[in-house]
Parts: sequence; C-alpha cells; structure tokens
Amino acid sequence: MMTTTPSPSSLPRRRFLHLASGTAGALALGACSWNDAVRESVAASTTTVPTTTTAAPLRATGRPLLVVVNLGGGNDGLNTFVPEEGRYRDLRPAIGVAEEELLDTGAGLGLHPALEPIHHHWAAGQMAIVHGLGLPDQTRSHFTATDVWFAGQPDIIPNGWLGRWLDLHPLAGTDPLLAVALGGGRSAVTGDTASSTVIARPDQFLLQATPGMNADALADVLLETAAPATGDTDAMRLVRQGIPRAVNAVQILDEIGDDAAVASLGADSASGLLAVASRIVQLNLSTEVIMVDVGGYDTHANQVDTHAELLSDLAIGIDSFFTELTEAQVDRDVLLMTTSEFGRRAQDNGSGTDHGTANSHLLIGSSVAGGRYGSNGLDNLIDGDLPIDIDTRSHYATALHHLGAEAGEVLSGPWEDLGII
Amino acid sequence: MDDTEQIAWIARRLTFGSGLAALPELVANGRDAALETLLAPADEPTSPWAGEDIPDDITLDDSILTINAWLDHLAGSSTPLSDWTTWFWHDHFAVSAPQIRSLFVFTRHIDLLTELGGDGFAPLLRAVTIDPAMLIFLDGRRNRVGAVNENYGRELLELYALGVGNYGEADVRAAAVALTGWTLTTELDGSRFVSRRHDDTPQQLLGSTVNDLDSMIDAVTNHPACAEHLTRHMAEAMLGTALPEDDVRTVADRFRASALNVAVLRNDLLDLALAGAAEPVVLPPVQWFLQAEAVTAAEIEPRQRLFALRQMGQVPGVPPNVGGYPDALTWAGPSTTVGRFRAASLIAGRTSDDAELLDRARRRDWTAVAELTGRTGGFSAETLRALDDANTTRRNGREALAAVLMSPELAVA
Repeated sequence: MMTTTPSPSSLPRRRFLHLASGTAGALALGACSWNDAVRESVAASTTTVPTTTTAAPLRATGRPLLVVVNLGGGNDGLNTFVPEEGRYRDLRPAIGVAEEELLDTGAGLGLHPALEPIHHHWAAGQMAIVHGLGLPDQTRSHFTATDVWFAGQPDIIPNGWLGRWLDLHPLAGTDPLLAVALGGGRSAVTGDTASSTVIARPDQFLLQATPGMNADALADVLLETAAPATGDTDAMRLVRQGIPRAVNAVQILDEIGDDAAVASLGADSASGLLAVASRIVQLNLSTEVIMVDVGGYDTHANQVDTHAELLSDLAIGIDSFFTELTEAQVDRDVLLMTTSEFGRRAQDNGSGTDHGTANSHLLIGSSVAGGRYGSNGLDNLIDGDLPIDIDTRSHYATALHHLGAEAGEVLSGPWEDLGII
Repeated sequence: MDDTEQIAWIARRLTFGSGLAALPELVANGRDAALETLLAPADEPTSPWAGEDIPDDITLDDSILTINAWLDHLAGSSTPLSDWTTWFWHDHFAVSAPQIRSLFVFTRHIDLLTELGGDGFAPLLRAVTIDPAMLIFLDGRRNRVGAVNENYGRELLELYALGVGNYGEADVRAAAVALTGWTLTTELDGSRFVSRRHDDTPQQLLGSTVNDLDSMIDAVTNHPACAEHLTRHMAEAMLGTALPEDDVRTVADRFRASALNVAVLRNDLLDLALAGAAEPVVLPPVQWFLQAEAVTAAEIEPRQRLFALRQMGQVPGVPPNVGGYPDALTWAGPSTTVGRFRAASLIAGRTSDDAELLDRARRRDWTAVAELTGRTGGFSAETLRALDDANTTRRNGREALAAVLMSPELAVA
C-alpha cells in the first residue's frame, strides 16, 4: 500500500473551521486571499447565499444529529435479528445462526453474535428494532430499490428524503455542511435547491501538490478557473461547481483525512466511515445529518462468513461512534438508524439468500424507546417473502421527528412516526 | 464538427490517450486517414497480458502489475475502438477483480470481452454467462437444482440484456433454473456443465419455453427489449447523453436486423456522434489520467499510477458495484476533483523537461497548449484569466502545466 509523504505544500489546516462555521469566521480571519476565494466560489456555486451576514458562527452544540447508515446490497434482516420461532430453522437450514450463539434480548429474538459490541445499547433500552419495513411495490432491483428508498417514496424522483428536509432548512443554501454523505448516498441528500457535501472516499483527502509545487497557489488557480461556477454544457457546469465544493470539503476533512486510526479501519468500511463521521461531529460543525453508505450486503453466497464480517464491522463502528462522542463530551442528541434497499428471501438458497422485500432495521440513541416494533412476519409469508407491514416513510418520519422537522412536508403525506423517539 | 474537431473528438472520447499523443500527426494527415487509423486499423486487437503468466490469486503487487499492463496497453493502443468496446463491456458486465479473487480468471474475462465484443451480442452473452469470472462473480457456480441462486439471472435480465420493466419475478427464477448445473473447471480455466446439478424442468421465460443455457440465451436475445436496452447503454457511453427514443428505435431496429451485431450498433452511434449528436462528458478518471500522461509523455511508476486512480475513484477492474462505474456526478464530485488535483501535479512534476507541452506552458502559449491537448475550442475566458493572472504560472512552468491539466477544460471532452 502506498503511503503519502507529508508534503510542506499541503494546504494549512484549520482554515476549514472558518469557512464551515459561516461567513463571520472567514471575515474574522482577515484578508486571506485563498479563503476569500473559497468563500466567494462557494457563494457563486449556490443560489441564495447572503453576503452580508454577520451572525456568529453556527455551532451545533445541543442540536439533534441524525446518522443514517445505509447497508447497500440488501441486508439480511432475518439473520441480523434472529427470530426464536421454529419456522426460522426450517427456512434457514444452510445459513441459520446457531441458537446458542445468539445474543439474548428477552424479546423473542436474538441478535447475531457479531452485534455483540452494540448489545449493551439494547440492554440500556436505547435500541429499537423495527420489523416489516418497505415501500409499496418494493422492487428487487438494487438500483431501483436504492433510488426509491433514497427518494423516500415509491417513484424515482430527482431528490431524496434528506435533500427535501434540507430544502426546508432555514440555513440551506448557505451551509454546505448541514448534511454530509460519506461513501455514497448522494441522491438521498440531494434537494431541489439545497446541496450537500458528498465524499466518496474520505481517506487521503488533501489538496496536495507534488514536492516543488505550491499547493496553495495551484488551489487559487483552480478556484479561479471555476468562477463563476457555470458552463455552456452540463458537463462543464458540473465540473466547475464541483471545484469549490471539493475545496470546501477538503476544508472539513483536511483535519481528519490523514488520521491513522481512521485510515486503518478502511476508507470504505462502515467502521472507517463512522470514525470519519465521529470526527466531523467532534469538530462541532453545523452538521445535522450524516449519511454513511456502505456496500457488500448482497449475500447470495457464502453468506455466513461474509455477513458476520459485515455485521461485526458495523457494530464496532456504531459502538465506537457513540463511545467517542461520549468521551469527547459532545452535547448532541444523536439518533443512528439503518436502511437498506430491500430485505432478503425468507428461505435460504443453500449458501446465501436472494433478493426479497421487507426488512428489519435498528435505531440507536439516548432518546430511543428501546424494544421491538412490528412483527417479523414469519407466519405470514407472501410467496416466500416477509410481508411489508410498516412503510419506510414511517421509519423516516421517526428520524425527521428527531430532527424537529415537519415529516408531512418532507414526505408528502401524514406518515406517522413510530413513537420510538 | 469540422475535420479537426472530428479527429480531436475521437481522440479525446474514444481513446485512452493514444489518439491524443498522435494528434498533430493525425490532423496533418487529414480526416480520412485519421479516421482509418483510429477506427479501422489494420492491426488485430491483442491481449494486454499476451505471453504473461498471470497468477490465480490476487496479491497487491500482482494486481498493480496486472492493471498497469492493462493501462499501458490502453495508452499505447493501435486498436483504440476495439479497446473502447472492451472497456464498454467491462463497464456493462462490471465484473470486479477483487471479488473473484483471481487475476488469471479476471484477465481471461477481459480477453474474452475483447475477442467477442465486436461481433454478435448473443454469442458474447452466452460466453460471458458461463465465463469462470462471471460464474464466480454472480454465484452461478453455486446455482444448482434444489439450491437455485438468482443472482446472475436477475442481473442478466435487468442490467445485461433487457432493463427493468421488461421481465417479471417468474422470469428471473426461470432464467436461474435454466442455468443450473454450470460450474468451473478445477483449473479455473473454463466452465463445465454437470447434468446432475441441472434442473431440466421446462421453464416459461419471457413467453418462451427454456430448459438450458442455449434456449435461455435465445429467449433473452430474441426479446424486443434487448436491442433497445443495449442501444440505450452504448448510446450513453458513446454520445454522453440519452438518445431520443425515436432514434433509439431506429438504431435498435438496424441492430436487431443485423442479428445484434455490435459493430453495426457501434458504427450507427459513431455516425450520430460525428454528425454532432454527442454531448460533452466529464471524463472518467482512467481516461483523463491516461490522456494527461499521453499529452505530457510523463512516466509514472505503476504504484503511483494506481494510487492516483484510486484517489480519483476509478481503478480498472474494480467497478464499485454490479451496475458498473459511477457517472459524471461522481467524476465532478469532491473525491475525484481532489484526486485530479494531486494527479495533475504528479504528472506535471514527472513530465520530461523537453516535452513540447511543458515548453508551451512555460511560454504561456495557451493556444498551442489547447491544440496539443485536443481542446479544439480553446480554453474559456475564466481559465485563460486564471492561467494568466496567477503568479505561480509565471514563476514555475511545471505549476503552469499542472494548472492546465487540472483545468475544467481537460476534465471535459
């Protein structure tokens, strides 16, 4: 594996705090041409940037925080939250989780043993498991299903449920850090007007020039080539808009991009991305929503080992995330929830599971009323699939309730939250 | 497009640098000669790994050497349209080398795409379906009577042949059942059919009765949606935009009438492109990187090449999911933009001191720089101002070159 030699030409640290916390911070920094250029470029790339605000930098202390972990590929909820019913053993002869290995919940199911790191959240009454989640006409195509889950409605539309929340946020358009997506998940956090910061790979995320070149000066030139961030073609406009956004995103992650602990976890693993999320929260930026998008859950074959590894990485990541925030005394009311484009078939296929429909998901946080919500539907299979009893939008309404948002407006309908918060 | 614009368009959109390196010569020789060189060369396509002993595991060092050989092959290609087509199929079938865990199997898969990719789609699809790489990638090797695995059957219908909306769940099942029994040879060098693992029960697939590989391939490739699905996908790749549905039908009709001859489809789309139907695209990182190397003649070590590509988010042989490589929104996003910044700096730093492009950048001759990089439209006023204003480009010719390489104009073609 290559390592990058720290270069004296890397951009200086700490600049991001000023940008990220609003224009007042940048003004306080004084006449720094590079920072001004960044600020102006960001302003030029958004549509409604106030240029005269003198408000104090926005800090997130005390504000709710939502972390959505998307388990791309279609997590097998039935092997994650394992029913005690004998029927489960009939359906999963090849890949059933051994009864003696399950982590007891006292609620008619056992957690997959790889979830041991988060078992204590259940014991503390701060973990909810919601069964039977899905959207009407739930498709089994990874891509269509991901699109509709990210859209938060049964049809594919050009914005996502968190993007629409962002559109309604009073600071949308002025603050690209309100929602940050790590790994992927772009369409979920894309609004009609608001834009988010989406970082595919947070590792080694530095504007670094080769020795002998001046990264600062080159960044200046690059920003100038993209100002204004328009273009006579879609491609040129996209590239020009991407440049100030990239520089801005570097400002956030410059502080943590070479964090050895983060890097060692793997830049695209749940634990690695949740470690980045934890650092972002600890920087006390304005961020209210973090989307973490990981893959690998499409376990058609060799599921037993693969799924255990994925769940272990996920559980370690989740627990470390909460532990680090507690140790850092971060004063945020955090809700973490999982999503996935679909569940998997109830019956195994001999070494794994094929695409199914309904799924079970977890929510963890100090405001969560722990317990099971809904039924796993094992006694009511539809053509071998678990039935959808709870609309995905109710899952989302719970999250929006946590954020203090009007769920009805975001989700275009009176979707009741599940009373979990 | 005039003659020079057509040549430059082909060089930037359909080659991985080889057309750009030869651009002055191609333009000097005239359009017809240039098109023949780029699109209909006398050379036969070759394997990037011809004569190499490729291991059947996947260590980091071997991966770097193997992918690097592929990059070298693409960069120096004398058959660029064939290589473009291979890359198109690689994106279409999107087999991931790390997931199949054998460089031997993976490189043979790419060779198969090269060998069969320019002729009939049905033989290509048949070969890919039972190719060891695919049998591993989408679990076909585990698909057997009594333990039907739908992974390949679903992606076959959704991604490879028909598209969502043209099949039902029963078709996914039927396709999977028809394919039961195919597995790998012990040496991983081919596939074999094990009849006791096969479910011979006749299945209804897309209105046809099928019970084996060949009848399954027939049912799928004879479906009316197949020609249109492939037309849409290749049109997006070739033109950088969705083809209007009327044109999709026209092109697909000709493609269907040719018995799904890929060369017919490709030529029709190429004609549309050269007639002006193409839209500019954000260049995928592999293409951008190899083109930047080509115009500078910079030499980058294999590890640094791969590291740079990884930072930009596109490593050959490692599509992020079964749907292939990401789209323009990703290539214009923060990770790729930051990666391009570093790669531009790296390439400019490794450019030979006597390279013409470096000389022109030092002299701030932006018109010549645009010509050498295939930017027939020149640079925008914003980029020219940025290049002219900056002290850095006055002070340091390599920084000027880096600024050129990372400019929006070179990221778009």
